[in-house]
Amino acid sequence: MTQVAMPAQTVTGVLEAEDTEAEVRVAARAFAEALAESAEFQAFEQTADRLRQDETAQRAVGAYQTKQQSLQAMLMLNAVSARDQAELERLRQAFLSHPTVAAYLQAQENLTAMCQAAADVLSQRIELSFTAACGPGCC
Amino acid sequence: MNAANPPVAARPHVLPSETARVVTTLGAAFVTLTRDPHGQPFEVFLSVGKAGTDTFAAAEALGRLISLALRLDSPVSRDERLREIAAQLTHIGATRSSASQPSLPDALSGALFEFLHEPAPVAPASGFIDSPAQVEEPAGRPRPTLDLPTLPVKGNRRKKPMNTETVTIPPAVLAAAETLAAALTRVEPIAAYRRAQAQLEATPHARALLERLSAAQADLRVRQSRGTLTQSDLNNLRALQQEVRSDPVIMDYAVAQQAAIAYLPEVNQEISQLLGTDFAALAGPASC
Repeated sequence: MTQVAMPAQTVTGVLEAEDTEAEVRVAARAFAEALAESAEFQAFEQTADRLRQDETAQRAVGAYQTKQQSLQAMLMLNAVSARDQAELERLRQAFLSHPTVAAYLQAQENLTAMCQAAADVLSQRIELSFTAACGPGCC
Repeated sequence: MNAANPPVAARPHVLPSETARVVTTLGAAFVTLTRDPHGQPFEVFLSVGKAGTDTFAAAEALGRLISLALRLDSPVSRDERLREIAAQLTHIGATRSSASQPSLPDALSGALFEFLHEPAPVAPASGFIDSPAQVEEPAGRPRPTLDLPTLPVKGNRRKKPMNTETVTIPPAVLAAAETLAAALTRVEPIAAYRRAQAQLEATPHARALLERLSAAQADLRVRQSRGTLTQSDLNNLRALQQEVRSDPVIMDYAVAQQAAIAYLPEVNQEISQLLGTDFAALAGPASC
């Protein structure tokens, strides 16, 4: 095969682009490692494990989710009856009263807050919203 | 609700209908609208893809929910409800959507406006993206520890934007974020975007043009919601959109912005693969 020599300037440009992209990949992995090793992430993993093993709490969560799913269409239309609304609220309070659920939610909130703050740092430096570019579309 | 009326109107045995065939990113879709004996919209059926597929099921569900919204007892007329539904569905972008091949909801919205004999709203101008590209699911989940569903708690802060200025970021995370941000500013798609943005900032004519377009779009939405939109309004907006598309500074910015937006999900995927969960989804306040 005949090889076509690229101009030296082009070769340098390509190599530089490859270097910066590799640099981003390395930095992205280091960022993920730092997140994974944070106290917030570790606490979230631990509370999620405990919640998975708590069968009573799982049943309470399941009961709420089942009721909520059965009312999904009416909830979207804001047309749930007062009786159903009261039942949904009772089930919600029932699962929230479990300590493992409360601990899980608190850990989730802390982790989300940290991730949002870290994403804000990225967004401010690159002058473009990192999460809006990567997340699902707005409605 | 009137106690004499059932919550969901009963379906007459026979109803007249009209069907539109629309092209979408998911293939050809058929939208059918039935009308009650008074000529008011009554049901919408949406069919796309092969029976039994996820796409078919999602389209079926969308049609059923629209039908339910139309059939529920309400003081709002069914014509008005259909108009509101069509307006909700308009301009929902998808990864591969374009003017000639809109997303399924966008195409559905167009068909519903057609049934109402009304013009569909004009798309946002010049490729400024309202719906950012979807992130692909991370290919691997080496730490599958975060797959619990988010608990459906009222006021769950995951669904709200937070004041992150008050959150303390652990020093190691902050340092890693800064390093990543610095690397991102050097990589070509982001660097080109920032150059184009600086150029736009330095060009008063282009900025003024964008402000005029933004104001015209907002005005059009207001007129549309009031039902006072005229062909002349649409023509004026289209002329302004054409002017924006002809401006090289704005177009350079729009292209660079799209390239930057297309690049960032790759970075998110790199982070998410190692983390075992979608970082952007975790960090981004959900929109609705």
